[in-house]
Amino acid sequence: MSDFLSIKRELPELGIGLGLRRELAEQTLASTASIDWLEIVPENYMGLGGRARARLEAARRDFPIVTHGVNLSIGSTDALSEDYLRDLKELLNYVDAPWWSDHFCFTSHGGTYMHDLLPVPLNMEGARHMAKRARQAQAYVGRPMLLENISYYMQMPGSDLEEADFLSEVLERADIGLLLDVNNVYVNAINHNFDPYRYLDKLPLERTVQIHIAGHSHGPEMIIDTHGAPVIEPVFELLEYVLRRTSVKAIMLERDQNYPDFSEIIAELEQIRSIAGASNPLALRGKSA
Amino acid sequence: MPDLKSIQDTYLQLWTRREPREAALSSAAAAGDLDERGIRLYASLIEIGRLDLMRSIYPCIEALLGKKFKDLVLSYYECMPADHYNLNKSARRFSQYLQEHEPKLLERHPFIVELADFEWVELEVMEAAVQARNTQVSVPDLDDALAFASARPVLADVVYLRRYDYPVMSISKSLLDGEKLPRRVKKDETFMAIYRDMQNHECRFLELGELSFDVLTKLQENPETNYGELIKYAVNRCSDSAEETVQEFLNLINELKEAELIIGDS
Repeated sequence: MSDFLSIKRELPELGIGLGLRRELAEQTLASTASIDWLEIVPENYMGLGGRARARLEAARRDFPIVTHGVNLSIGSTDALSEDYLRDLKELLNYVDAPWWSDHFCFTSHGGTYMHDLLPVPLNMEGARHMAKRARQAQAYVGRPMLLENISYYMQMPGSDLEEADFLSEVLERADIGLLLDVNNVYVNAINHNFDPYRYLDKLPLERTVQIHIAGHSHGPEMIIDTHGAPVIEPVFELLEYVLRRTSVKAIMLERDQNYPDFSEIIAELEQIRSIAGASNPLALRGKSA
Repeated sequence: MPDLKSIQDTYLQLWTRREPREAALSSAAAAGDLDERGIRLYASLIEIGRLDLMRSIYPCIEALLGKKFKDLVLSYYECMPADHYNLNKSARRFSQYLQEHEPKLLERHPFIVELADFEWVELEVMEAAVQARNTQVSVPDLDDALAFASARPVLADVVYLRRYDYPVMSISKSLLDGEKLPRRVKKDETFMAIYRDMQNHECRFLELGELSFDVLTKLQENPETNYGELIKYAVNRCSDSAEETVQEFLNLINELKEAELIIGDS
């Protein structure tokens, strides 16, 4: 068994969580009965005070917190940013996060941040490069690291691996965990015309620590991972499929725009809880157990 | 096959710079090798993100420029790309960009640099990290002149002092209210304290007189300055009688305490 899989066994079971967003913060923080844990975007809190810090302090009092970053830029050819890792580590210590995550992508290059999740060429050069940096980042931070599969809207030149094979290479070489976004699997499967279940079967699902689930929107030619709509049934089905094959420590609903009445978010969380309970009753204890 | 770095070099250009993108996509030879739909989609996602951010931070500049705002934002990011992991901080050099690269806008709206600074400072005040202070805030006996003179005023955790040539606060209000600005906005020197409310972390704005501004500047430069030294400073730089200046100073301190810009004494 890899070191990471041994570590995974010891990680706490957080249950069903929600992203802490400024627009929903008040209702989120008041919903301790329905929300087991919170995920934060660390870049929105690192090195900041004032209202951001106050929100984090309030969250920390009542919820376990993990971070889900966007600017580690693990796929970039720039050197890993020491400033970023230092500030991230400080934040992780502050919230005592059991793990932390970022994405299989690059977000900065040549010192410029694009603040968007950009795809890398899916090939062995890229996989080795990403795995090496992931090992370095995990070692520096000193807490278990997960990377998330992104939605991507074009194939980068030089790609000669299927996405699932690329992710598997990185995960195994770096010996890190997977944050599996089932909505991203669905979005990519539609946009790039592949079978999402075959994709899932090729992944080392045993490395999945956390799952993201979200809604998406329809663009003129592609569907876009906006986190701005309710979760659709085929995405719930992917969640169920994964949960029948592996145990995970946490599931999180992403909702980042076009906010509905908060009761709709709570209802979606309950639906996720119900699927998790039915699929693998021992996998996630959460608040209802 | 190009290596990873050269691919990222190329696509950074294609996704974030309009001229190289259009040149590459319009070249018939290159276009066959490029995924135009994908490139345009990512360019659009990056642009939307930048535009949404700048709209949220600079609503007055957007109200002033209308449809031209989008082009300005894209030019800004092409000239001064984001150099920090925090998304908001990518907007911090906007006033500098206007000053250095937009002479025509400056000629038409000579207050625009100050207005951009004014809008940026609001966010900076709300988010600034501050070191926890050990200062014990107390209420000195104001009837005891010696005790008062040796006490030091304590400012709110985050205070930015600004001297503007234009009345940016009223310009900002007019723009947000949808009012049309006069064809030529006249200069009107304005002194401002922009600071963080210690309770709700919101930004507060206070217009100051010149003397108040100078006193606060002195205090900010040296937080150890006590009331006695501040009174002496005010008397020295004011042409009114000493008695009048002292009274004016005491009134000022009361006003600043009521506004919670001075949060106590130590």
